[in-house]
Amino acid sequence: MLPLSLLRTAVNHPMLVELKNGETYNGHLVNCDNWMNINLREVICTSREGDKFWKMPECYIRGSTIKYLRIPDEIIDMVKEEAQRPRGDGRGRGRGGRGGGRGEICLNSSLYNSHSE
Amino acid sequence: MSYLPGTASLINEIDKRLLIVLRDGRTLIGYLRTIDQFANLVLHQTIERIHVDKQYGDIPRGIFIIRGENVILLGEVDDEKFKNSGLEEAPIDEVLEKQRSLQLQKQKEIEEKRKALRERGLEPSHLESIQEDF
Amino acid sequence: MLFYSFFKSLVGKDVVVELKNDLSIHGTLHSVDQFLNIKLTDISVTDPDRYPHMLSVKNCFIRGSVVRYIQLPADECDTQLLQDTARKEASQNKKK
Repeated sequence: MLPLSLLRTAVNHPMLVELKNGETYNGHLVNCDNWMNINLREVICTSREGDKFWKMPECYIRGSTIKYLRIPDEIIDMVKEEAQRPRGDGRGRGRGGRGGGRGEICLNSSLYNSHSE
Repeated sequence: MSYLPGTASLINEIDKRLLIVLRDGRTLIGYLRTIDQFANLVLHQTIERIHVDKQYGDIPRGIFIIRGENVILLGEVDDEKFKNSGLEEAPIDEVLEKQRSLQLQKQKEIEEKRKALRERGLEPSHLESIQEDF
Repeated sequence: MLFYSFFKSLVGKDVVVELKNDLSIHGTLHSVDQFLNIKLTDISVTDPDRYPHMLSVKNCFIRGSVVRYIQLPADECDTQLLQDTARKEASQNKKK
């Protein structure tokens, strides 16, 4: 699974976004796109020094200004469940811990196809 | 991209516990779970390690999705090298205190520089808000 | 692709990579990719006191975009060959 798909799985969950300028935005993810542009609701913005705070009902953050995002631990478990679901088919959930084979194939095909030289 | 031998790839680093250095100087250590062509990373069970001199303190941080352009390097921690490094873990409050006083000092120096520049008629540029401390 | 091929020919050699954050890393070139991302093995940092976090790292992957210089052993570089290849590529690109 790709980083951006993990982000898509995190829609409606709370997260922390730190921008390149050090500001942090805490809020629930409404939407995101392939450029990592995101839309948050119920946002608390904290200044770089940690001394100033703003509250806003929603905000839009341009992907190119993001340093990183921190998401709740349960998202990874959700992803593992999603990976196992299509393979369920009455064979039970004992298949491939991390959705191993399929995950790697997804990784390879997007790494070696989508980025043009 | 090709599968030719001698091609650097992060695929082999997946599920390894790696040390990541960011452009802002932060050190993160976590399990690399996924990557993409921009070297965007997903780290799991991540800790932020704060170094001051030979001491360090860890803060657990959970899951990170890091935008690739903010990554300087990824490294594999070698246990032998780590033992010989002379690095010692310290309570995180101590380390944070030390870091705070160091940063206050640096801030003073930066302010003095800015003042000197302003007196000569030069204004700080907007690019200064993106700080790369290393 | 010229520099990618050039660095591929240097795999196994000792190099010093200087990054834009002034960190210099000495190591053996393990691999390189089309973005000139670099993997180094057996690394040592030239100023370990400033960069304590590197003390426990043996191998690393360096993002190409943060590299300022790659210092190479002079005898490993056939400058004549490089110049000829560069000229060839330039003329090929012109024809395109």
